Amino acid sequence: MADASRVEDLQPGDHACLMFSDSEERLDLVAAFARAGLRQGHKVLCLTDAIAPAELRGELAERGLSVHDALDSGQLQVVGAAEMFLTDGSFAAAPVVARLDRRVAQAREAGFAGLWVTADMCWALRPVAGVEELTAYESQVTRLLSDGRATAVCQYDRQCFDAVTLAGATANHERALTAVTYHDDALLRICRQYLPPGIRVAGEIDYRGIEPLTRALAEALALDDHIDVNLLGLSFIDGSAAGVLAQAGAALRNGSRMSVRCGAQTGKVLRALGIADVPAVRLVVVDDQ
Amino acid sequence: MTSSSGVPVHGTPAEAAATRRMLLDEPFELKDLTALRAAVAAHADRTRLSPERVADLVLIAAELTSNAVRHGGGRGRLRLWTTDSTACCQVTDCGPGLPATYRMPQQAPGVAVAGGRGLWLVRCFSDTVTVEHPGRHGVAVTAAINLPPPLAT
Repeated sequence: MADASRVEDLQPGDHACLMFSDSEERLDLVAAFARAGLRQGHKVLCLTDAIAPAELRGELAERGLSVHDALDSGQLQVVGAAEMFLTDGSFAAAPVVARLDRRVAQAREAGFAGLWVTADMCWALRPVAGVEELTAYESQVTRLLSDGRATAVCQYDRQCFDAVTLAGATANHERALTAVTYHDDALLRICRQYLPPGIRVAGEIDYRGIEPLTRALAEALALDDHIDVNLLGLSFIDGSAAGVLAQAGAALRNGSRMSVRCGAQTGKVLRALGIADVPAVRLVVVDDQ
Repeated sequence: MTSSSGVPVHGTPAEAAATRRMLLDEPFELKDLTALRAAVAAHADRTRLSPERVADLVLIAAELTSNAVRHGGGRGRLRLWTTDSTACCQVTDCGPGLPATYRMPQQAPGVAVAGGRGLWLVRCFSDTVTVEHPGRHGVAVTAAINLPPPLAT
């Protein structure tokens, strides 16, 4: 059974699944995974499906990765998932595991410590022949990785895969990668943002969300001197919640800084409370319409 | 200015409450706060208010209703109506009311201060605010946003 883990907990040989329900969250975790792999001297292979390889490269760069350097040096590779998983449009476990094994060997031959691979599995949602071998494939990957030469993270969209497939996939991964979450219900989600480091608040927040918001801000500020408060997914904020951000900004000391990114209405509320005048806070209002 | 008589404490009302068209008239408590925001948005959307001003009216309604829930006895009544030239949101509660010397905040509370931001935002985002003490208990706060003139046809 998979334990909830953070990217920084990953060990060589781990086979983790990333269950996500929000594409921004997925991209954050993929960026954090790629960054950790690059830093530790591994070759990083990102297999993408929901978005094109060029788009993923852009998303990674936007999250602060030195994508161009890593691509030039060959340490990072971003390719379509179909290249790895499908042969003439159909899937079979054995050839894919063989292909993966070759990739691991190539990474080692090129002088990297190992291969860190992450795969967007949403190709399996299409009517692909052989997709019933997916569970068998996942357990073979666990065996392939067990010698510690490679680390793999398979990405499953919680909204799209059926419960049986998700349960099977989870059972075959020893770790489940998740974002650190402070609040998550139908109305409001507050979670750690890996890159740029900070927090993400999405949905609607009023005074009832003050407690998790305060906790999320405090933890983010304990980890980093400059945090990004991403409110782009926020459709409503009241004075109490906005006040928590203003207070946190006003309390910043010793060179700590906070960037707050939000849409027009949230920006208007924050401005009315004077947050734009706090020297340690940078307010970036992104026009949502 | 206090205003058991309904004197505006911020701004000048554009007109008397002559031609009210009631859009929403509902009691509420804690569990209704979120749904009320959506209801106010839906009704305000069908007035002449721009999307930006609709969002302002939603914030005003949210601040007034959560004030009633937190400080005004835990429940209240929200009324939303339009006149020919304004969209109005009134919240009545059954709390202790505001002191006779109450003034609407004239400037933003300090960024480092806890609390006190709700009525400041109501003042910032509305064109007029009226405070009344209609009975022995509670307070009625009415905030109005001016409607843009009707489009000439």
